[in-house]
Amino acid sequence: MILGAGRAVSMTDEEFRLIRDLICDFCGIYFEDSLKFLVERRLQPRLPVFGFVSFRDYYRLIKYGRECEREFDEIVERVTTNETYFFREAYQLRAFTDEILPMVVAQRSEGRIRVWSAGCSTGEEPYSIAMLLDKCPIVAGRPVDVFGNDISRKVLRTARAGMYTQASFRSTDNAYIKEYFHRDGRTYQLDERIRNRVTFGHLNLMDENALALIGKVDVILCRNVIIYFNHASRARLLATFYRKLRPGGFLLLGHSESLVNETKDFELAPLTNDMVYRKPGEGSLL
Amino acid sequence: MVWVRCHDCGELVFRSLSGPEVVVAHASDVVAQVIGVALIDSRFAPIRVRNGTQAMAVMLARRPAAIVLDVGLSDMMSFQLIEKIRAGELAGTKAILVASVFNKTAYKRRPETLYGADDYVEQHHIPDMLPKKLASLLNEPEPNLGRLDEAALQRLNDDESMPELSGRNRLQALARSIVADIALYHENEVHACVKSAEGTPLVSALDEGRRLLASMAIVDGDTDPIQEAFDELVRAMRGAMCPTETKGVAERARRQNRYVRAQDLWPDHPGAIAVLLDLLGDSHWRVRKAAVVAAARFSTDANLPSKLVDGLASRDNAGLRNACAEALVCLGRPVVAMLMETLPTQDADHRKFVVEALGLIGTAEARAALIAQLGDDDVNVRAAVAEALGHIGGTEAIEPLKAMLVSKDTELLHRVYILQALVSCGETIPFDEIQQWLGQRVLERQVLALLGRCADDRAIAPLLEGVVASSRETRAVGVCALAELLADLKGKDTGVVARTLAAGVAREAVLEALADPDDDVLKAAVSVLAATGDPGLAPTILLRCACRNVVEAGVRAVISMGSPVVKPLLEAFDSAPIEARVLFLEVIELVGDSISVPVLLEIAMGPDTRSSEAALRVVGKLAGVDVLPALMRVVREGVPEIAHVAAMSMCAIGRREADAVGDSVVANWMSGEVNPEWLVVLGGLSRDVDIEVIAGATHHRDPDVRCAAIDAARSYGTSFDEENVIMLLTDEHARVRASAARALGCYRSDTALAALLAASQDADPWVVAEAVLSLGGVGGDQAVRVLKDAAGSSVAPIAIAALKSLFRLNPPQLEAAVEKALAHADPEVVREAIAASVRLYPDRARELLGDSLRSRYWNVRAAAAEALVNRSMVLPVEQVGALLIAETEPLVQESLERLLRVAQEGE
Repeated sequence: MILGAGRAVSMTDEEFRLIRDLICDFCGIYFEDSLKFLVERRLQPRLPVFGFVSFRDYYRLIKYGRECEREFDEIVERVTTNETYFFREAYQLRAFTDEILPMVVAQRSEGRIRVWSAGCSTGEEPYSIAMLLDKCPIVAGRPVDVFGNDISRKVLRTARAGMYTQASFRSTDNAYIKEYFHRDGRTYQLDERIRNRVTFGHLNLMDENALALIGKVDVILCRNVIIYFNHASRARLLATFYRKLRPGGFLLLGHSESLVNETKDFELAPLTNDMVYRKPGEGSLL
Repeated sequence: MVWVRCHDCGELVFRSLSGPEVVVAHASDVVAQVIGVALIDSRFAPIRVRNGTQAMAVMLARRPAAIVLDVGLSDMMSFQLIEKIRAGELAGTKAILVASVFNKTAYKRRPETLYGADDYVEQHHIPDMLPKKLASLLNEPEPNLGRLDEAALQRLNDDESMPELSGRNRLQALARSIVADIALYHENEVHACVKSAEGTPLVSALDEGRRLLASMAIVDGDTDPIQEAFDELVRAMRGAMCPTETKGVAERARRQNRYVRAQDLWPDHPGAIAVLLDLLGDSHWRVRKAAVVAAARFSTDANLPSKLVDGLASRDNAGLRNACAEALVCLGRPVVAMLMETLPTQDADHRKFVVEALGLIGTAEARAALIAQLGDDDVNVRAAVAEALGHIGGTEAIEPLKAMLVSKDTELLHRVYILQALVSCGETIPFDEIQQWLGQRVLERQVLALLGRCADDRAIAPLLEGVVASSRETRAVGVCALAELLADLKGKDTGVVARTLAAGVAREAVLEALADPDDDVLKAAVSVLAATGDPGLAPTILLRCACRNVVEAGVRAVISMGSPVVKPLLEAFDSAPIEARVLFLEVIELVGDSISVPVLLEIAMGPDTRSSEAALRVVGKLAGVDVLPALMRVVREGVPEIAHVAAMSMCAIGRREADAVGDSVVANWMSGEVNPEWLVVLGGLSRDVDIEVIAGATHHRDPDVRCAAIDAARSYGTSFDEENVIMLLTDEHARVRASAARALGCYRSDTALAALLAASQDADPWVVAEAVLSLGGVGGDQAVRVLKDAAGSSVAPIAIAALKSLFRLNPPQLEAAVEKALAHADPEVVREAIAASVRLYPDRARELLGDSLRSRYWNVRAAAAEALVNRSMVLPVEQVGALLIAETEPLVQESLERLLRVAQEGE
């Protein structure tokens, strides 16, 4: 059956609960009951694509359909939030360059340093890290990998292109723009040298199998991501971070995020510029 | 003689009124009339029909005693008509084939099985042999033949075949007739073609047929009636081999039973020899063939040879005679004495068979008896004796032949046979002895062939004369002989050849031989022309050799002329067809002339992609770094395939000038010129300094660039950062992940293993397949567990990759994986499993392969049978026999027949 033009289908509470739980199982993103309108509005355009007249049919598709994985990709593109900009939460990045990196370097005198931007969205965060590393004498000549991942293919395309508008520079020092970007009309193209320092990948943080591809890292930046997860998903993700971090490695969360009531595996490291979490182990300060 | 009307088609046919009725099925009025006269003179009553359909109608109505049929009927193959006769109530009707038009002057071996007919007669022997053969078959008194009817023979010689037909119909009918003749004398080759779907064993015979057809009718250059007729024959015979389409099940089963009986016949079976003789005379050729093979197992049975020798004298079963002769040849030396004792027999045909068998056995002890037979009364026996002595060879055999050759009592025709025998046995005769036969046109071909191997420069002049002979066949022999002589005279002054062939008719004749359909003649002509050292001939030689089986010889000949060939080749390039252009460029590459590079670059920029590819390859081999700008332009502007070849060409130059090429490419890349082909070049050069560029490219926004970067990284092996490759397994593009999984195969670390295990769970089947393949390189228990599961995947590429990896690692789990894969729905997976089963214990492998012989896919059955044969794995004879009976696919039948032989030998 094909829906008539302009005729909206409402989502029942039961349908919302079913679909919400499936999305959470798939990618960890959890919608409170108050956000039902958001899920309904963002997924409604998918119903006429399949000729459905109710969200229950849509639920059946993503639960049992042969192409359910493909449809989940579509759902992810519609329900994820990709708000970010360069040098967001600058105090934390100062802590990264001035305090964390020297500790990491001191802790491991050789070998490559690995930084993971989990949920990198359109790439501003890992590129900010790459620019900072470019100017950081303490790692000069030392191989540093910066890996950014996201579950949305659309934002990865933007990240790989390295082309941004003014909105991405709301807290960026002009010196960085001058040095690392080439202005082309209303857009800014990131220098290839910086682009090449960052590896992007498509990764669902709930996919244990895909996470197996991430080796041990020194620093994880996962800022403003776990706020969208429910407790169980957060617990799974934090356990993953714990496994992936080297002993003494650092976990940087968003300013509104905390591990209180989540896990006691990490130590709180009170740095001068910020408070960050750290995996206990060799070189641990606390 | 009266005219009667055919019941089916209404056409008028004629018949006489007395004697046993014999249907004469022949399209040619002249031949039919000669047959009719010969039969009426011998008190037979001929009924003339034109084709197979008429023949069947008349035979069903009249129940004649025999049929004399053209081997090339116009509406059906002669073997089809004979099978129809044998299958029904006319089974007892005797059948004699008339071989007609093909190469009527050549001496031909006796046909082996006659496709079910009782006997055959060559067209020019109709007046003297046909009535005798018919009388013998029908147990009629031997007719009194008068003198050979010269007028009748002349009519046959002058017969313009099938004048009543015109245009395409006549062409097709003539082609069918020629092909049927070829099939009669080349039965083994025809059956090889039927089974293998290739016409290769008959190439020269078919070419001869084409020449003959061209001499009888005008053949349009775009059509090949001989090939069409041959294809039709093969199709018809395939139908006959899969009889469910054309015959009743009961008849097929009966035949298969006889066939299996022959396959499984051993000397210790009760009444084995009687059964064997019965099977040797079977009406079906396959049964007779199997019986001949079985006869070899009776080599220790003293009673068999005499029975076989008796079989040679059979007058009513030509199949039995031929099969007995073959069986005697199989038994070999032990039967020679008995055959020699039989030689004095009065029956000329019998003597001829005995002589042929002795010649094929080829033992020296038969020599004396054969030499004594050189003066036999019968011309066919004498010809067979000459051929047999040629087979046996040795001074004792050759000398009498030579003596007879020079004897003034030896008739001319016999001299031809003797010379032919000398040629066949590879005898070398001094020029002084050959000289006396020069100038005799009848002996010309044999004499030219002998001149070719006399290694005497005095033979050059007569051979050059032979090259310009009027007949095309003689010219061909002359060219071949001249080539042979020039090869033997290497190092001596053969300037006369170059001078003679510089111009004039001799040159034209050799150039004409380049167009000869026989590859050997073409090869000889090429080698003669190469001896002239004229580089101007290079384009012509290569043009003629392109797309023929003598490409290699042509290229070698042109290369022998050295770098002067480059100029004429480049001059002729534009006007040459594409297949020859590629050959031109290959030669230029081999003679290595860098002067040609500018022209080659022009060709590379041209519209013909095959020429461009070849030219770029040559440039890569010959050019220096000065061509880099031009090659880079091709990389930038060419279509993807050509751009890639240009990049490979740069790699080739880079092997000599790595830094010059590498630095140019890196400069392009650094200036922002993004092109995956630059990475191909850098990968090909594998310079350490470029690793960072390639690593950077793995982060590029364009997935094609990322793929190219990973592929380039592979050439660095484990020197390339493993983590970088692993991270690419998370790429959003499946093809990048697949490339990364492939590249990871060379790292044998725990991290690579973990990454590949993760990649083996990828959503994309190609990524999984690549990961599974790479796991075979990494190994370990975890890998094997994953591989075992993957071998049972329903996705064929994954299952195949898993089997390949398991085969490489050879863990204990391989057996279970093979077992699972053998039940796969995709036959390609099953074939891979069959290949992998070679790693299993033989007993288990045999069991599994035995089960695969019952697969519903014919290619699986064939692969299983071949695997069993190749590994000499023995299955019970009964099991294979039963499978063979049930099998309908010719290729599988052939494999099963081999398997049955293995089984019999094993038991």
